[in-house]
Amino acid sequence: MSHLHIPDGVLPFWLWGLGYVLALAIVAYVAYRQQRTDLRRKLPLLGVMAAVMLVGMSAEIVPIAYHLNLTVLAGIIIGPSLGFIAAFIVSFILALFGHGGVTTVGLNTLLIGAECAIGYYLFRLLGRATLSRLQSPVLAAGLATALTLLVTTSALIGIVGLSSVDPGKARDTGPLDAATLSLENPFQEGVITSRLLNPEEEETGDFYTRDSGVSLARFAAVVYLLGFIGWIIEGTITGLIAGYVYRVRPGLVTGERAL
Amino acid sequence: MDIYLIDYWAQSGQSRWHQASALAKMIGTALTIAAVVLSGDVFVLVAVYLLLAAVVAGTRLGTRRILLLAAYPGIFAVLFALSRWDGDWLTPATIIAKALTAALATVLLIVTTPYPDVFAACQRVFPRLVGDALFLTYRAFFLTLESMEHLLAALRLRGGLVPGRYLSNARNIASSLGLLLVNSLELSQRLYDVLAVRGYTGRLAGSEHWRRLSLADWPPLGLGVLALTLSLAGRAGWLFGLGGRLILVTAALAVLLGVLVYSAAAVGRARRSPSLRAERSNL
Repeated sequence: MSHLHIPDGVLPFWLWGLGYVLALAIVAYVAYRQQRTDLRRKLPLLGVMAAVMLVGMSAEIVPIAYHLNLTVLAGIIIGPSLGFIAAFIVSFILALFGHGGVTTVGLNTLLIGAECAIGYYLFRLLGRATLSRLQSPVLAAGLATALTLLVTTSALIGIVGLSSVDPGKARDTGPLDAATLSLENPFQEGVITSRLLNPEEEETGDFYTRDSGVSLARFAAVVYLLGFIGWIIEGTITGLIAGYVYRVRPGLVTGERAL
Repeated sequence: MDIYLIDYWAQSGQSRWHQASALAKMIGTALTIAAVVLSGDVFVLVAVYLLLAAVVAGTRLGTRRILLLAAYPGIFAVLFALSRWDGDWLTPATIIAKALTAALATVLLIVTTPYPDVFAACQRVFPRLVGDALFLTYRAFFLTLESMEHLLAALRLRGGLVPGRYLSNARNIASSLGLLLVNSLELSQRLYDVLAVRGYTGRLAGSEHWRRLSLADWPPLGLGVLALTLSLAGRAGWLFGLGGRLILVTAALAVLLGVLVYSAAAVGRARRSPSLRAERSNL
């Protein structure tokens, strides 16, 4: 639940457009910076890490509408920079599968990329304190994952709050009054009127105006409640995976990356 | 989800939709998504969805499976729609119709277009690192997914997933995912070695097939233009009220039913054809 599953056409243009601009700017910057290093070995690793994230995201825990993300794990293994590129690729391919809207790819990249980065730094911080004592990264990775998901889920709710969309008005039925299913004369404003071209002339039902009290609190309650269960599952699984990887390839989780 | 089938459908399909260029289908999909973004009219969205479903049926790939795959975002859309419930059924219906229509448009693109063609077009826009990584991710995804399915099957057969033992199950699933991760890293190493043998120096060569235009490009472009036109007409109030909208949805439903009947008849004819019978008897 750490990224947006909001369908196309619900978020306002300025928000998803800004998401695209920011995400593509960061992707371009990271790609430019990475060109100075040897890409040949990094590229396949980036590809398989993004693929592992996609596999995690394709397994749905239906009762709570949650799926694994493995984003923090990706951040731990490939680092925050390549993690951001992986986030963009994952969001793009998910959109092609119809999982999340095409218009939300930018915002999802920012959220998933932030998960990789925050998870990476939190794990380094917590790992420094616990790894030498416990000889296991399970606790550090689990805690880093749960804390990261708390932060990014809050960011997700913030985005929905920022959107100021009232889906109660997010439809246009022309002369049909949705409440009473009664009709009015479609030509009462003349034969050629375009509310699309003149949005300021629109009387009611503006797609991007909140005026019927969208329950952001209700949305937040649903997301935090289901998300909390998800964070525990994700934190546990990520911690245990990190523990397994630490046993067979310790260098991958302690910072000696395979890059 | 039958995600692994996507690649098979895209490569093996013989329909006219498959013959259209990736560029035309991507433009058509973009126009359809623009229609979904602009429209708030549930009737227009349902009509566009039915037309897309008719195209899916016309490809004769696996209509039910593709529609189910494209229905996946419906789970999340329902959750989102419930949180926005305002006592009016049209609100959740519109949100769910938007999710399903946009998802079906993108799924139709990906099941009828080989991924090298889709990503070759994307390489023109994205930085080199991202374009190349897209190719490798998509290829690795299907391999990883298959490995994961085998691992889970092995886990079940060996008693690693026992109902009610949640912690033990979680530990076993995590170990499987860890093993998958380590195997994937080895896969990346092999992939690097193969690329190095083939002379990879930091840039993958893309094909030019994606932009070869032909007469087969008109249907995807036409559907995209039609969807956008309907969406704009709905916003402008030119759909003549509830009656006009019901006629629109009925017409789209008739198209879908017509394509389903035609496809079923074509499949029946193909099964009765002497050449196929001979092929079967040889087998």
